[in-house]
Amino acid sequence: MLLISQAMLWVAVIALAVAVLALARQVGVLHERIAPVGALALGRGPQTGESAPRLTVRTLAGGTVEIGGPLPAGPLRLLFFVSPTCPICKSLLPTVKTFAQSERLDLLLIGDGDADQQLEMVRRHGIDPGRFANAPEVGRAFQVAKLPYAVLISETGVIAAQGLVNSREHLESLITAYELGLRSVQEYLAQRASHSA
Amino acid sequence: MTVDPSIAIAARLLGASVFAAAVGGKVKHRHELAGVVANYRLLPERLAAPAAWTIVGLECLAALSLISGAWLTAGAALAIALLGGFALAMGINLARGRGEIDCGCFQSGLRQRLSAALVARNLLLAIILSPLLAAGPGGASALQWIDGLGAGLAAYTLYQVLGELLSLRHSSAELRRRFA
Repeated sequence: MLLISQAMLWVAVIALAVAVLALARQVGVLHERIAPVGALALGRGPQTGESAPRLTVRTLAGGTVEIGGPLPAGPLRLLFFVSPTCPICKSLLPTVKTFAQSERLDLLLIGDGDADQQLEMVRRHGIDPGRFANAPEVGRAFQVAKLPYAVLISETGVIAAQGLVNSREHLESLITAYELGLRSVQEYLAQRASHSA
Repeated sequence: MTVDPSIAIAARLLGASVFAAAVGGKVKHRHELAGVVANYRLLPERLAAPAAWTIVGLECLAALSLISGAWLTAGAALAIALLGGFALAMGINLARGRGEIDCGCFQSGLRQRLSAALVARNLLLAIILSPLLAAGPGGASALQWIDGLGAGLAAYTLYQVLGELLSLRHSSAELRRRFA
């Protein structure tokens, strides 16, 4: 008798604990959905609306790419700053690739660090080495303090949108910001607040 | 002094589940693992990957020893040493002001930053496992088995709840900052 009642009590305790866990997970899922409102602009370095710094960088394939200035081809250019030691960068790489494809962006990955590690990363993620430049000077020119950071440059060489990106929604917010002519998620939130006030 | 078998069973089940889940999370995120270890900046860069896999191997051994009861004292000591080591690594980085790095717990979908609460959680787990260092081979009665398994499972579920709440705390603080 005691055995059975004890077993029943434990079953009830465990069931309750599982219920609490499920609730906490659900709240976590909600947070994940709400959190990515947009890429966070850091407010340092060249600002949105200004001309992008002009630099020539060497890609891992050996060619050179010019950053800044009018683009020869039509599409917007997306600079994506990564590092082999940044876990989020790596988990975001496949997303960035498909995103650049679907939005027809000219994607250029900018790394800062050990060349061998970067080659390894390029191999593992199937990135075209001609679209990856190990160029710390670009990060300095744009004053990138946190990774993964993305900068969208328009056809005329002007910074169209930029910010810290952690998800596909953040990347999409860059395009949206460009289309709406807004400079950052902060500006969008401020505008929305003033509308509702 | 011997420990009540039900407490030993509960501690073994809790410890084994915690380490098995930790190994599972690390294997699932194996591509990020070396980066996470390197971010702690406690070892030279090139030792990060070997260190990461050594940790996974040791965690495997601890989980196996705890669940099977083989070399239990050694297994419990290893588990406590691992927990203490992680707490120390997190404590050093917190002291350096590098609390923003990912803890590498891979416990929840949300990224988990370092915090004093995580250090405390590890130390609490180590305290819960410490009776195993003195556990004798004594047989357990049916009632003790039920109590031990029930308490162990319940404690493991609550441990997961704690992890979930800790990462929620960070992400809600971030949300508040962002909308402020």
